[in-house]
Order: sequence, then C-alpha cells, then structure tokens
Amino acid sequence: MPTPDLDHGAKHPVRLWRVRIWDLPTRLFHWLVVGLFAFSWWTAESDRLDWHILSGYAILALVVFRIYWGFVGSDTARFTTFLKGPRTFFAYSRRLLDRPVHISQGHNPMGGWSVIALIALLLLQAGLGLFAIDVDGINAGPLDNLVSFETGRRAAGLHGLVFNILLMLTALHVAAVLYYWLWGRDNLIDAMITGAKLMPGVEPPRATRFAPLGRAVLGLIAAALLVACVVLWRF
Amino acid sequence: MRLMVQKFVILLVGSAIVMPAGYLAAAELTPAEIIKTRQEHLKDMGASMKAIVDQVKTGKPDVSIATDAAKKIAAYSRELPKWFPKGTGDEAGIKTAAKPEIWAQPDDFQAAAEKLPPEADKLVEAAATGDAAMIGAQLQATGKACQGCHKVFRVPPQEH
Repeated sequence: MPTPDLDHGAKHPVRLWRVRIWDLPTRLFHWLVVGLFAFSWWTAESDRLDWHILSGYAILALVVFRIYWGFVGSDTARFTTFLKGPRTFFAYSRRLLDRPVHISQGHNPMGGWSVIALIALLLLQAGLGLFAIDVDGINAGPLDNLVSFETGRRAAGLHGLVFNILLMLTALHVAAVLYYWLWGRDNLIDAMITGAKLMPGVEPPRATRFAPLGRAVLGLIAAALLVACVVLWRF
Repeated sequence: MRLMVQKFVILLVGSAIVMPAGYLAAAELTPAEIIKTRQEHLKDMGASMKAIVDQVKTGKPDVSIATDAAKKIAAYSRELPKWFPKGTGDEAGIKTAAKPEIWAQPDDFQAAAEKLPPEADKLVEAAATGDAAMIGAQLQATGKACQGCHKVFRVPPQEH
C-alpha cells in the first residue's frame, strides 16, 4: 500500500510501504513469554511455587514451539533468515548510530543474536527448573527425583543465576527497542503487536513469505504434548 | 621409696582430676563447629524429605526407604531446638541463615520448633502404609511445620 510521495515527484520517489513482517504465532509467542516471564518472577518471589512450576511448563512448551517455528515458520521467524555471520554483524554494529537508522524487515543482524540468546537461555532456565529443589526438600521440579539432593540444589542455584542473566539480557533488549523508537523513529513495539511496519523504499519491499497457521497449531500441540510427557512421565 | 610412692599417688590423683577436665574442654564445640554441624543436620533433613518425595513420585513408594527417611526426620526434629545455643548466630563470624530472632524470642522459637516432631511422627506412620496419597498429604503437613519456623527464624535462601 503506497503512502504519500516523500520526494515530491522525483523520478524515483521514496515511499513508505506498509508491509506485514511478523506472523501471528511469532507475535503470540513473544507476548505470552513476556507475560509468563513476569508471572514466573512474581510467583517465585512470593513463594507460589505450584504456579511457578506451571508457568515454567508453559514457557518450556512455547520455547520448544519457537525452536520448531525457527525451522518451518514464516521467513522472518526462521533462524536461517535472521542469524547473520560475523561480517554482517560487525558491519551493522558500525552503522548502529547512523541516522536515519537502518530499518530492517524483521530482526536486524544484531537483534537476531539477542533473540537466539534469549530463546536458548529460556530453554536452559526451564530445563534447570525441572531438576531444581528448594532448600527444605519440599518443592521440586518434576524431574528432581532423577538427581540427588545436592544436584537438585545446584540446579536451583543455577536457576537463580540464569534468571539474573535473563533479566540483564531482557533489559538490553528493551533498551535497544527504545533506542530504535526514540533515536531511530522505528517503532518495533507497534510492529510486534500489529505484525506490520512502514518500510521506506522506491520499490515496494519484497513480501514476507508466511507459513500456514495450521502448521503452527500442529507444532504447538506437539510441543505441549512433549512437555506433558516429560513432566508427567514417572521415570 | 616412700617418696616415690607418694609422688606416684600424687601424679595419679592429679591426672584423675586434670585428664577428664581436659577431655571435657576438648569436647566443648566452638560456635563455628556447632553451626557447621547443625547445617549438616538440616541439610540431611532436607535430603530425607526429598527421599520421601521421590518415593511418592514413583507412585509405589518403597516402605523401608520412606520409613527410614521419616524416622531420621523425626529423630532430628527432637534434637533441633538444642542446635541453637547462644552465640551461634551472626556473632560467630561464619555464614549462617539463623536470624537473631531465635535468641530474641526464644519462647516463640521453641514453640515453632515443637510443631515438627508430631508431624514427623505422623510422617513415619504414613510412610509405613506405603500409600502414596497419604504420604504425600503428610509430606505437605510436615513441610508446613518446617516452613512455619523457617519463615520467621531463617534468612530466606537466595536462589531466585
């Protein structure tokens, strides 16, 4: 959809094109994880361990789904699309302070690595939670019976450490988003809610290839079943 | 000769007095040792709780494992109030989660600690039945007794 002509009748006018970049599953994943991460934090601080554990299962299922979606999802959700090599990464980092900022049709070359780091740490965090146990030996993750008390305590300690790392990475993520918004006039939050953003260009930007929604539903069901098996199975 | 006998008797009597005194002095534990020992005991109690939780999780609890662990908790629970003599708080200079309230409100501490033995005894009984649901329920009750005291008298563990 073409928007007002920015170059006032120049031969190759730069226009803003509204393009859909994020599919529904990716957006839902993002905001559900935001909510559940906050919920997990709160339930841990307020000793509501049964809710904390359920929240962890939900995050685990969502992350497993996101990894699957990273292989078979829409263009912008795929790891092969947004994980760039060091050359692109550093070239992009040198232009980070440029104005106007480089507007990416999806994750930018630095943001992509932040996304994969967050996904990997969430997976690790949920995994540690499965084996963690509290100091009194009462509240424990579902797989804690597979390890000793000492190992369960160590898992709980690491669970605390990884949480702090996740918190720092989240702060960095939010800071970067605010930077693009305030400095670069590129509102990434709006795009993550609506799925669409305005891209400047002479030609209309290439359309994002979207994966069918049914594929996401199947993946989510499979991920939920996998997590259910892991936590309910009596090993 | 007589002098030697006298000397020998003096030595004998003297050592009869000095040796037990020395032995008793050596048996007196330092605050650091007391803290370390009680931490080991409490950790052992936590591990015993876990051992029973593990049995419940199997769906078919092993009666002897669960009973042994419950008996251990019950035995420890009776000793527990004695693990906190004066001088074994922060002033001992080693890391302890024992709050000063233990010594500031000794009656409250005693009352909170005394809630555990009856629950632990019931846990032994429940363990003997081998019934996962019953053991699970009594684990919850025992855990409440642990945490009832911990909430007030222990510095919250830093793991999240």
